[in-house]
Amino acid sequence: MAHAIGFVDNTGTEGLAHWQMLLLIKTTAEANGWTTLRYLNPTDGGNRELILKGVGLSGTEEIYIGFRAYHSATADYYNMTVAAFTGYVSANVFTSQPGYFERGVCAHNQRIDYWLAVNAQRIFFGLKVGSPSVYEIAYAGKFYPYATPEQYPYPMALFGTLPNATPATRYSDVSSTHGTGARGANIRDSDAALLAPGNGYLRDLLGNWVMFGCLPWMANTNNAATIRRDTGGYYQALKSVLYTGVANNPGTTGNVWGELDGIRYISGFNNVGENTATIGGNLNVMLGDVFRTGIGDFFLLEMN
Amino acid sequence: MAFVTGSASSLADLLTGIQNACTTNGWTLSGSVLHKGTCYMELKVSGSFITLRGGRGIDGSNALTNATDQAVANLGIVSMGIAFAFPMTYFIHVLASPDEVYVVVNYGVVYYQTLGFGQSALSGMAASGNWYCGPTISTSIHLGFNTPQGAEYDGVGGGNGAAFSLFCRENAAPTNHSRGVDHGLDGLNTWAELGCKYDWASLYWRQPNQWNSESILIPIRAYAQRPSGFISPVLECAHARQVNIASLADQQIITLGTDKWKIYPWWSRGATNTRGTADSGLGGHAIRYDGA
Repeated sequence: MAHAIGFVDNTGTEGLAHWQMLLLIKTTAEANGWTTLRYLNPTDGGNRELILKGVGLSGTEEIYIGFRAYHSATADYYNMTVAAFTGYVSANVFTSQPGYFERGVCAHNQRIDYWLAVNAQRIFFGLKVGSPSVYEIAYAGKFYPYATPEQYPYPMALFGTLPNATPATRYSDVSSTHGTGARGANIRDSDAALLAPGNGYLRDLLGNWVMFGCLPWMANTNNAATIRRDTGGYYQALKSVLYTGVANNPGTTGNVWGELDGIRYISGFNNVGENTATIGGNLNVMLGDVFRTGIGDFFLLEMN
Repeated sequence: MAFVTGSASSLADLLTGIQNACTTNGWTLSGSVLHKGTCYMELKVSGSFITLRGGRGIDGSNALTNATDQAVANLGIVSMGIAFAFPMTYFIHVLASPDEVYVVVNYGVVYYQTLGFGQSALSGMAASGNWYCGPTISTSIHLGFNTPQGAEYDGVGGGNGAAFSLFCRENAAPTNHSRGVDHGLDGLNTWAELGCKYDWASLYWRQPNQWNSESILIPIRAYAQRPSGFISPVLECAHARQVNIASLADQQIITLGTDKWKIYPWWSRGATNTRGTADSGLGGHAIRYDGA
């Protein structure tokens, strides 16, 4: 529906880049059909909060998502979060909202280059943080389910780049748990359950937030994400397919849920971050997975 | 686009049915070669099989030119003690944009075999993009997926994989390949490619869904092997999908939006995702359906 590309820094009205980014999400969302239920912007260094309500692609839904900005000047981290809810209670604090689930994404107090995409069912963004830079991608809202609305009315996905809501993690962290949730859990252990690290979550039918696996990043061996390349200069943008459960237990735990809206796989072979492509009339930009630059570490963000 | 069904009393009868279905829907028959645009496919009766192979054209004698360097596909395999029996029912899906033809035969009540051919719509290839795929005559065939461990790691569990599936097989020796894509990448005049087993094994093994007992339709892709261990997509079938048939009946027609799909087992339906000794498990194809 809409997108914004640019940068925020510490010279704007809010004073810190991650605060400015939160305000940008608010104004862009409001301009594209989202209703702000709460926006708190204290100047004493406390967490800033934004809670939005959307109507979905049908125009008749109720989708609740949120964002926060938190930091520690003494520890030198300035981060954001993405959150999802099932409702809104004005008297409740952010973390006590109905169906609350939240994950962090690293940001900065100084210049952040951003790619922000907003439609009626989800908001996601990519941030370029620091120098040398890392790419931080976060997503909050509905995904495209392999189901009818009657079967699966609230197919929500949520991820940042951190394994918790508000960890004290600086963008420079290079641990395995600092990674884009879009690629899903690591699943390399026979037919066992999905394994951490994995920062991507979806809300299942029972209302539980569960870690998902995602193809093609988790495809293996002959079709692994790390060995895919172009075909004569053309790159195939592959859908992000979300699944959970244990293999070979059909009808017991295995589920394939749907696809992320606007985030796809693209090969990093002879390709670099921030390259763009136009697909179906929409601008797409390619970003990496935080500090990772391998062939299979890239995401194509549809600016729509 | 068309859907044609009938009964064949012999291989020659079946071949005539295929040729007629194609020629009445935009294809031309020259000798044994069916062609449309720049897509050329040779189908003929050869012993106890109908063989299929692709090329880039025909010469003055209607012989295939620049024919595939991969093994022909063979419809008619006698396997696992199950004879290829007549009369049999055939289902022919003649589809366009891009051109793809799928031939499915049903015999002995529960057994199926599938041939497919067409022209890839993916950009960037250095040759015609013509492709063909069908059963292998290898004596060491695997009917369907192996163990889940094999699927997560090895796709179909080694050997020659799911011999009756479209493009879901090991990159076995060319004699077992029975399929090819004319991609021309790296200046090579080869139709060799890798299947798509690892593309989606993780999905297959988690189907049908616990929560609604349904299974999704999964794209069928083929990849060219490139230097230094890389792969490039050279085919994504526009009109066929892989599907777990646990919650679907053989020959069932399903409607998804404005699309209809007809469901066929790879070979014969089993009880589990893992293949049995005489069945292909729950592996199946969904082929776009334009019938009434």
